Amino acid sequence: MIKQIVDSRKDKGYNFAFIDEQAKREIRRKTLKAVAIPGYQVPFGSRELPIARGWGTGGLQITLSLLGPDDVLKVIDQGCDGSVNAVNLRNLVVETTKIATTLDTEEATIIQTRHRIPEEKMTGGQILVLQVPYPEALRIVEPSEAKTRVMHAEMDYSKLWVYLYEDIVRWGGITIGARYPAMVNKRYIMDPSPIPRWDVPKLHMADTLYLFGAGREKRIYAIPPHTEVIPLEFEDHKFRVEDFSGLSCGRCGSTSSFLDEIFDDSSGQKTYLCSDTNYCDRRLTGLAQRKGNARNDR
Amino acid sequence: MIDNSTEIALSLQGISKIYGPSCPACIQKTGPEMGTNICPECGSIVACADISLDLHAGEILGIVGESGSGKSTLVKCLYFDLEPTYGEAYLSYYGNGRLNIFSETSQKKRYIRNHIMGIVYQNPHMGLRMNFSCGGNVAEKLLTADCYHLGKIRHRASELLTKTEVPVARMDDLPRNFSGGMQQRVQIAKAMANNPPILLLDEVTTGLDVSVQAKVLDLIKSLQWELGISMLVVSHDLGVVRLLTNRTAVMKNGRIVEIGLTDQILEDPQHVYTQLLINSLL
Amino acid sequence: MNDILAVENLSKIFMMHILNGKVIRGCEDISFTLPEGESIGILGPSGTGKSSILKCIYRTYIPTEGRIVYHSLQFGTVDLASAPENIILALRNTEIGYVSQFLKIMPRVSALDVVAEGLIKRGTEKQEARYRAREHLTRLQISPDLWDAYPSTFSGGEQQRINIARAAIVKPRLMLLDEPTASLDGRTREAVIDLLLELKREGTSIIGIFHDLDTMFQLVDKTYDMSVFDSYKAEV
Repeated sequence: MIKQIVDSRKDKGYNFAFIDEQAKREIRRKTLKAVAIPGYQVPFGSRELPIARGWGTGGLQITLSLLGPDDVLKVIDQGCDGSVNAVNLRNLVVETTKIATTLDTEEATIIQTRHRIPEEKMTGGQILVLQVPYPEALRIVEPSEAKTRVMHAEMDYSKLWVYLYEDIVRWGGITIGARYPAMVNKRYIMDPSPIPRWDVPKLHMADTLYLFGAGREKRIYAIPPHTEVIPLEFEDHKFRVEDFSGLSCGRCGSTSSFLDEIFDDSSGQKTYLCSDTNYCDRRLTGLAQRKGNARNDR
Repeated sequence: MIDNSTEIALSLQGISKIYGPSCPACIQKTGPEMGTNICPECGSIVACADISLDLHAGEILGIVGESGSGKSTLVKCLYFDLEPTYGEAYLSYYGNGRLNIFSETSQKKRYIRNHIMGIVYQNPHMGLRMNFSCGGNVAEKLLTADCYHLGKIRHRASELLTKTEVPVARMDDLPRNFSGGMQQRVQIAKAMANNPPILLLDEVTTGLDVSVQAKVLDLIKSLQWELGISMLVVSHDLGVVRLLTNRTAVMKNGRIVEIGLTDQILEDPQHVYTQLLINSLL
Repeated sequence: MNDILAVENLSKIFMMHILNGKVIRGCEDISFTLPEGESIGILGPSGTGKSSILKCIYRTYIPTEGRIVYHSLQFGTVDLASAPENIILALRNTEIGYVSQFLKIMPRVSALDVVAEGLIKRGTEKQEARYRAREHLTRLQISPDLWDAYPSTFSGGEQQRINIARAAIVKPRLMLLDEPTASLDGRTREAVIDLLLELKREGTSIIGIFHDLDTMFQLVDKTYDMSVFDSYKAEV
């Protein structure tokens, strides 16, 4: 490992994984604190990176502070490994570490993501790092940071609950799509980052460690494995995920994944595709294999 | 501490609120005898000093005095809006009356604010969130009491609004679109949401039209009548106090100068300031 | 028979701070006893402080000197001149009634509810309390048209009868009457006297000030004459 770190310095003049070791230690210490207090936002000294704040620097700093030479990294953006943001972040990491990357969810040891949690169930050996634009779930009801911190300290969440109440009264249902607030470990209400409601239940009692980094807002928080994460709901008005009943992926035919709506301007047709591209691809290869097997059997 | 056999709901002991550096002379050199609230030595403002009184269970106690006499400061200290400089307060409904509520943690203070005491401010903007509906305002209190059932919340809200004579049809409207008297009734409904045994009323009818004033006073009286809530009624208006209370404390320059049965205060005032006040009645 | 009340050397002096400390005499050195179940009438020209005595007993006035020893069911022997306010309030609620010359009550409450209020306060069912209130109003010849109206709009005589009904309905142990029949005509006065006599038969002790001797001698067992007392003192 040392050799690799020294090598990378020699090549580029950068430390392994770009950030210097002291800064990594601070980020890891704050990450450990976040793991110890599930859902609690730990302030940290967000470093300058060669990408702009608001483009995933929080998640990236966590990832960089955790990476070792043997890690296998996957970076996704809105479920897709190939979008600009994902590609750029991945390139930066590879440039400064020379570690292996993958598109395969199962193969990765660390996955950095924005707006989605992979469809495939992740394991205890993996870490999912989420990029967070707005870490404060209470911001929609309270503009002052000083006040929201007191509200968290005192578990004073009635204002957010009233917001949900008003939503239902005014619109007949809760209008929050992404960033659906959830209660972590019966203590802190947390912003799960802009993942769809579809992904929120995956946080509950998971095998995987979830880390959340907000670079611009300088906050780290975490959901350790096997932690209770309950989306806010009323006894007679339950939390619901997005409804795709009757729809399926136009590519792999999946009826049990989060679908993106694709609108074709020329034909005016609406089609649906899996938002998790790797999942979709694997299903296609799996289907092809099974078809192949079936042919051989005959 | 409150002795439980005495049926005292709330006991205030030596409450003082001083703004400024405060010096040993502050208390001595201010007050009604000195005719000032401002300490001549250090310039501190003694908003209220050495206030001790007991509110009995089911009683309505009035506090009268001119503006600046410290009556609102006292109520705001009680509801933790302000932190008193000195003094203790005990609630028979909290910790068996043995715990000074001012030295409790802010989490416990919040519990007391939401479950044991309700407050109605002179200005509805202080007590209501104008961008939430009426029902939402009441719901906020219920949600602090861990009631997460929408149907139950709405049922209780309409019950309270009916009791305070706000048309239930307007439950989902914003209180900012209401008249002053109606906002005051929504505030009362909100204050009572969790059935607090103690209600603090700070100049609740000040600034309302006379006929609206009368309706709000009738409402307060009937609530006390039906539910037996103990109330502290702060007003500069002797008429309000005469109508609502059995006992009255008179404040001047941050001190209680006289406390007694309301009819006695009105007909046989003892202190020079009380006599002046009574004789100023229209 | 035991005394329910003993007034001992009661004096009331008003100190008018705002009139440069001017002193106004209410009543001076009053002593009398009232055996339980009996009634006493206070006699004397106006201005001698008859009302002051009643107000001191009810603690609307704070006595300057003397004791007012009352034997209560709830608290045993109580000096009304110095008892804590909550004891006085409790006694007003349960044992001591006061009928003043003027009606002082909540505005915007119907006559029926004004009369029924005391009973409801003591835990009587609303229906039952209203029923009894109707009985009293009928008895004191208040026209049923008025039962749902606000007493503040009534004539002096009607207000006075509402006042009496309101105090009498709860059957207090001690009743303080300050000219209860002053503005009544003969017929309604008879009705009031009849009601008070019935209270007395049921055990209520009464201290009263009456503007006409006729009424007084129908009701009282003995008198306390302040003019005599004053002249007596003058002689000494």
